[in-house]
Amino acid sequence: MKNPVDDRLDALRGSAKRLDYNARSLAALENNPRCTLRALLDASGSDKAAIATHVGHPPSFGQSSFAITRGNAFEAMVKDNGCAELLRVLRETLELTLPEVGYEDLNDVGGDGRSKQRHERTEEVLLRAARGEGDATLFDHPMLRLLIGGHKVYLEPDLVALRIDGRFHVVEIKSFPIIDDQADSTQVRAATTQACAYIIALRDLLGRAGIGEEAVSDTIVLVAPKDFTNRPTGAFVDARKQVAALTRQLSRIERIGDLVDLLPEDLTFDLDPTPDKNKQPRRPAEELAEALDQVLVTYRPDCLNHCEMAFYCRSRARAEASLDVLGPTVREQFGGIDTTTMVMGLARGELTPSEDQVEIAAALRHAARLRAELEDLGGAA
Amino acid sequence: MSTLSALAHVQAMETMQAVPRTEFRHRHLSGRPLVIVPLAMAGEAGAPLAAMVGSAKRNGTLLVVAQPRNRDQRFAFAADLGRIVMNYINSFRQNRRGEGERSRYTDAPQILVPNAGGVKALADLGRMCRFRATSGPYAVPDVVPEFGMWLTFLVDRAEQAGTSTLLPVTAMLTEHWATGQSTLEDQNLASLMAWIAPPPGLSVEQAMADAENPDVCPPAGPPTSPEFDNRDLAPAIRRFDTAHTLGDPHALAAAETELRELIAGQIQPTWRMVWQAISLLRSVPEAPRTAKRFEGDCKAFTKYSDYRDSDGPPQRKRDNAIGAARRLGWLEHALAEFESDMAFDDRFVLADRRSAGEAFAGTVVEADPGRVVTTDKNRRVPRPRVTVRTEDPVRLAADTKLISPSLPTGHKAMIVSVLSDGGTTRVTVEITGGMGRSRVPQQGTVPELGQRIAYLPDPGWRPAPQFPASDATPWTHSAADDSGTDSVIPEDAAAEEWGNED
Amino acid sequence: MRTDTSATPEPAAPNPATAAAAATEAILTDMADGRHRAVVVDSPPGAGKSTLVVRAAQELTEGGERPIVVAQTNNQVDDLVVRLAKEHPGIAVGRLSATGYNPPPVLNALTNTTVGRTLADLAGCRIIVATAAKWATVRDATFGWAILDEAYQMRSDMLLQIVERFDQGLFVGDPGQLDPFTIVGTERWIGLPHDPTQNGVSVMLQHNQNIPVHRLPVSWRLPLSAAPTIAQAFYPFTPFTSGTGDDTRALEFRTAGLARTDLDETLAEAFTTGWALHELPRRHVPRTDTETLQTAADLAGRLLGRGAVATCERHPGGRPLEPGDIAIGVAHRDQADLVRTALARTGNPNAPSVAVDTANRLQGREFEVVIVVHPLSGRRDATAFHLEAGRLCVLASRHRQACIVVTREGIADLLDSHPSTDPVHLSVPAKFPDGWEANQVMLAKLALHRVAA
Repeated sequence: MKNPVDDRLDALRGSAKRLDYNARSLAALENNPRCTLRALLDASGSDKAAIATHVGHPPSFGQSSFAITRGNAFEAMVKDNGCAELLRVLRETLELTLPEVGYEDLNDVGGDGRSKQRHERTEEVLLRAARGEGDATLFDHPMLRLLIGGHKVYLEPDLVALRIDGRFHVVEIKSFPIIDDQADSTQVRAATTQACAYIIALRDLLGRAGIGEEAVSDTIVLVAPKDFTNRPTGAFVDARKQVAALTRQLSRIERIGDLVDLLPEDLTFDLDPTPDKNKQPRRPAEELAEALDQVLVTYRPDCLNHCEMAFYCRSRARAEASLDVLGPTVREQFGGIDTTTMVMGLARGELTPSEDQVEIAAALRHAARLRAELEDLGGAA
Repeated sequence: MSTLSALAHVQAMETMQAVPRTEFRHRHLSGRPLVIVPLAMAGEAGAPLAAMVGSAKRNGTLLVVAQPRNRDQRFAFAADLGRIVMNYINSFRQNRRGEGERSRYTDAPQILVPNAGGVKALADLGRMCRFRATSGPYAVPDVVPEFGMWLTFLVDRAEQAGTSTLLPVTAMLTEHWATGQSTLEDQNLASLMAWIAPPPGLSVEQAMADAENPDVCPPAGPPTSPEFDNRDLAPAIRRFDTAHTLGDPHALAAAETELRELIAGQIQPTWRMVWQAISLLRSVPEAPRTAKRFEGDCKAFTKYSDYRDSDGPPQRKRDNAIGAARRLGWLEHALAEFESDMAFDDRFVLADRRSAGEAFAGTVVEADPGRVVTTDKNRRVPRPRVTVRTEDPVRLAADTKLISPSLPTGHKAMIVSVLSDGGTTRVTVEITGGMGRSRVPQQGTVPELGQRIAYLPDPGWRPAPQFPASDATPWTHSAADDSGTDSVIPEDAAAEEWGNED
Repeated sequence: MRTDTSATPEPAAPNPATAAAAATEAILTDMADGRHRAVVVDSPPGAGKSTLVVRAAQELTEGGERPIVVAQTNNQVDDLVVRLAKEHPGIAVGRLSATGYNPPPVLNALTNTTVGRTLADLAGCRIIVATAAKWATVRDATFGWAILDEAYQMRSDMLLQIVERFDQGLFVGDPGQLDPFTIVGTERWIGLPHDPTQNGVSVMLQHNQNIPVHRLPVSWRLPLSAAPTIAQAFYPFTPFTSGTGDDTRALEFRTAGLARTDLDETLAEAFTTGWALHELPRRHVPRTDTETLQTAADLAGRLLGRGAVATCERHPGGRPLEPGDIAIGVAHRDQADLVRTALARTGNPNAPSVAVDTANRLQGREFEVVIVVHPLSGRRDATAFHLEAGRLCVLASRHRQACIVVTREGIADLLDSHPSTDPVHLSVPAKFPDGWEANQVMLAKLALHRVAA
């Protein structure tokens, strides 16, 4: 039972396999909710990295094998022996009272590793726990599901759901250090975004069984290495604002239909890959670029940290001499003006300002006069 | 940001060339700064991978940790780097001037790193080293904790505006030049240099593209590029580990050489670029008041040096209540002073403030140089008034106290009124100081008709805040059961456990 | 009729006056109880904070204490001195001040006040009032009690400078207004209970268990049309009610509107409902946009020109509004300067006497009608500064009769597309209300009172 919007989204993606939202696309969503291109590519499940690469602007989000190894080793260490280290942190560092601890691994369902089966098993176990049945306290690797834009997205967290005092808490295990009770706020932010998706998914799971959202805490437990050691420590992260923010941004995706309606009928981002396993794109890169150019982008320099399309969007912004290239702080000084051409034209008095540009033009001419004054007097090298 | 600053970026973007935003360099630049380019291993804080260090371009020492996860190798590295840095620092603990309280070293060390990440890496290294014990089960060489404490001193000092003992060169460059890219991209040293001084034969566009290509321009660190890690570094470290396990001295030497060469290839481009940036910065004249601020650096250096000589304990992990409040006071004071100094010294910075309406310059159109008033204490004092006509969008209110770079030092004035007059503004000011002691102002201390003058707000003098004694935190800022947890030395100082060596 | 339909009505409270009196009694009882080093009173806008300060000071004096009062600005100190001296002519009140301070005429006219530079000058005074900055210069004197007014606007490092001057403290303030701030960007103190950039009340509460925290339950300033919305937007966990009833407050014109229909429609909406959103065409503009600022000034000019009469519990027979009864609130100082210039252009000779100021400086003040230039108007991006809940809270809660918000169309989209990129820190409780949420609540309310210009 597909709706017309889904058909359009499928057409945008073309023949490629549908990609689900992941940590990076959620972060990109939070970072730039207004970007139409990002919204369409994510909602249609298009492969942004492949598209960006084909038009000549490959993303650079490589991950160092050192970081991956470190992350895995740390997580394994924390979870070793039925989460012995994790329990120590919860009890000693975070001073939580955990009477009896039951550990349940939801990783494997009798050898059936498929997402749907695992999710059903997770659902069954967590619902039982929520109703106060069973004695499990720690649930490892629950397979959660989030409905984004009408699509079921499975989230496979490397997390543990912890049940204390009748509430579930999301426990995130991360390998960046907590040094003297502080951690890098960018990394904490990224971990929090992920955890928020899990909180929303967990609430959704329980909500379907009529259990209220207060059953899942919006305080996250972060477990990470202490100082420069390998020993884990923990901290609480108050994620109330982030949960609220992500919730409303996810709800916006439902409005993707409005965006789709504005697109040309035959628009597609299909790469037309070869049917063999190399999947070489056959679509001419210029044609793909033309298709992308028909969609509005909202480039912010910060996109470079989050979005696979960022280098492409930046080159587009540069080509248009758009002030977006310089970032919001600079841009703010120029009110409604969009391009450097317009700024310089008004500053030099070569362009006649429109009615709503009169003031900004006066400010620009004053600035240009100051600049000229400085340069006349022999500016610095 | 002012319209003028924003315009400089637009101008740079339009002309594809960096645009100067200051007339002067406002940071002291040592005759022999010590450059450190630190590299760290991805995914692990305080796991140094390498550093290139030295006080001349041709004279850099490359230090490499073959297995960054190995605790002994880490501290061997810290000791090697520490010895070089301490030699450098100690070379400034020679010449003192002045007597007693006022005695201080005449020069101070200056450490330069490529970017803000470099400062953070040194902060982590300082934190890792300063509590280490030099005896007992996890003993480290003597230099390690000493080095850690000095690094922490430098990093703390770097938080204060206008100081120059530890600086990222990206910050020095962006203080002087505006580029046609965003703040985020300006943090990449190679991208920044692409705008200011692209490599010979390359356009800015090409240099920018190269700057983001890790195969052409390896990142300035601290993290290395993931491609390099996965393609080159990981296999090389594995070969080192294997040789180490087998105890094969030839293989070990070969593996070490290979690692050094690989890392040298990553670190040297940045090293050269930092020195190129330094020589660019040297070509910019130093601002007049920089010397005064550098005096402050020498004073702080002397104070800490004497403290180290008295074997004081390391800096705490986190500030206590009174220390934090005191530090906030310094930091705010230093920032206000620095901003005012820059505007006073530098026409460009002043223009920036003018563009934002926080300062003004114009021509004296009316003057009442002989005006005299009677004070509360029944003294007759000169209080000349002048009116300045300016095209600047003045946003200063009446009663604002002013200083002026166009008049002799000590000149003080106060705004009487600000009146808009068509496209210009007439600001009337009363001169309140800097006219000498006699009843008639000294020659040249009162602006004359037709003179062009500039004014900016006086940052003023504020009494240093007085807090309770450090060991007497009052009830509002300490919990009854606080006593044990706030000690200077962390409980696990002797052996901050290393955990498993995975 | 003015009722708020967007928020759930409060359960029928007892008489507001009774509830407020009970709260005051409970506060005084806790102060008299020797066990508490501090008593905290959270006060929503216009809930009688100053009344409480005056009352508490008087009670302390009666009990043989010689309390000190700490306020944040010279204006606040002057206001308190005048109130204390007028309401308690039998008590000698001292005003400690810095050199160069000129007391306002109203203060000079009082016979039971003394202005002094040092404590020695004020030896005979039973209550001594000064700014926190002035108290910070006082050494070697200790008093039994201090009353700290606007305590949420006092930074923790300032509290540390004055705390040795007193044994016990009554901390009174409005937690919904603007937080103190620093120009220094450092993360080094984040998460510390004694972070010096935090407000003094929060830091004191972090270190002291079992401090009684009271809340004044009734806003005497905000009309029934405003209290529920302000409570919902800015005090989501601590509701309060309006002290005035349905038909106590009213505004009407003495003349009919003809000349400026666009402005008159907005004024009519504000006069009948207590709120109006005057929306100019969508456009990205610098914050100094003349059209927006001139419109705010013109609304004030028009209001004065047509002559408005305000009825309230203080003036049941009605009273003509004067320029000083009207304020125009903005986010930035340059906007305030330009609005003042714009007022002069309105042609109304009284318009320049309308109060114009930034949110920071309007804190603690009260007017009959407030015209607000929305901090987000015409912006392309919302910054933390422009979204700050405290800023909008101050601007939207200064009025006794009506509040008119002037803006460019487009705030809804701007909020919708605002990236959530605030840094997240360990062990730091999220600050509520969230500026984004608060703006949404206010905008939803204002949308019901929208007049397109």
